[in-house]
Amino acid sequence: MLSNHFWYGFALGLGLVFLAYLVTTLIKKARKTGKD
Amino acid sequence: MESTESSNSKPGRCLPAAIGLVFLAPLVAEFLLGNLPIKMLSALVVLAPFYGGGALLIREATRRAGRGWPTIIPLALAYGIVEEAFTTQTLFNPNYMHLNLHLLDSAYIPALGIGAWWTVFVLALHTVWSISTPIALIEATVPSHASTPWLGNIGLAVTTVLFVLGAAANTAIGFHTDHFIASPAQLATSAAAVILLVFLAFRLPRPARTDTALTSLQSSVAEGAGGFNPLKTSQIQAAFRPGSSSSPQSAPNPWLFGFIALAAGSAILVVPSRWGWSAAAIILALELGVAALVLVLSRRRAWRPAHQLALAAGAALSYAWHAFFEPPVLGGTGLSVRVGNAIFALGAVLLIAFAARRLRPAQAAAEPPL
Repeated sequence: MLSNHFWYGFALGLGLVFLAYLVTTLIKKARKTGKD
Repeated sequence: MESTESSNSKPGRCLPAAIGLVFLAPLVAEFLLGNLPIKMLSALVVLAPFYGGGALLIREATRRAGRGWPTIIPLALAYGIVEEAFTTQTLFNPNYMHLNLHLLDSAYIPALGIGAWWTVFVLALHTVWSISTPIALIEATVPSHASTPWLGNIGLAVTTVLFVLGAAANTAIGFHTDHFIASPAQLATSAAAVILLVFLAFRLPRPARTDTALTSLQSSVAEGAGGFNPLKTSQIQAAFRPGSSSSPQSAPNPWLFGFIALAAGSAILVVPSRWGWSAAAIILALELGVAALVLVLSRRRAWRPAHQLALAAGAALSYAWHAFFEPPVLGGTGLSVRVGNAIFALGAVLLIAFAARRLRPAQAAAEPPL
């Protein structure tokens, strides 16, 4: 049976992936704004 | 798409600086501070991907977005929350790794399950020392690459993977010793704070920096001297725009900034936690005071990379001397610990001297024409 710690790690991993996506999106927007 | 990005980022790539940052961040954060003794240097295997990967990712994201310190600082604070709320969970754990450190006792807030002193203190450590200081020191050693990305897309992907693995390893090590898991409300609030800081980092308006525009203008002139490279109209407008003009006064001597950073950093480190709310307030006031001073003075035309180096040097040296008076959190005490403190302090001094030496010619080239 999977422990709470496994699910904690799983959620942390998902969170970091989401953070990477968010930062990438914001960089693209910042670059676009900078060119305007 | 790849070719455009590569051609833009390749001239600025600087792998040695990136590798240097990956190792310097944990060395400053844990060893220069004196948290870990020199005999635990092998811990860099798990600390470098996390601290160093985090610092490098923050710098890359900032420079790729064409932004600077107003972006690095909130991202560094977000990193601090990720580390202390999610991987080590010291913000919420009343007895972290069963070490009886009593981190949360001072100015404890029952409703939130956090200690005000520890929260303010440890987040300051990560924001200023773990992330910002190593970035500033390494950037000073490569003045011609100080504001450009250092990695290509492959390097960025590798760093991201290493960072995630580092976070996983540090979390797993913590769980091995201590099975504590914070409450869902605490974790959700922390996640919201991280997301908010990331948004702020990239969405806050850029401060007007005439000196940056002027430096950009000068480099275009310098490049143009070697070949045909006409100035862009936007650069000329940015350099002489009256509305964006910073104060024409000279910025104070960099040595003064170094001493201010050393004094403020030292004060943050020595304020006794038993002062409770007063300690938290003093730390917060010192951080905001120095930040406001830097924000105002860095807009002056005479602000130079040497000022940035001086701030980082002052911060690093406050860690260096403080380490001699603190027992390490792990690894025991003894003569080897103090020898290690001396080695790390000497390393910091040498790195600062090297960076200052590297900055001198670059600074002379950037002097405004008389």
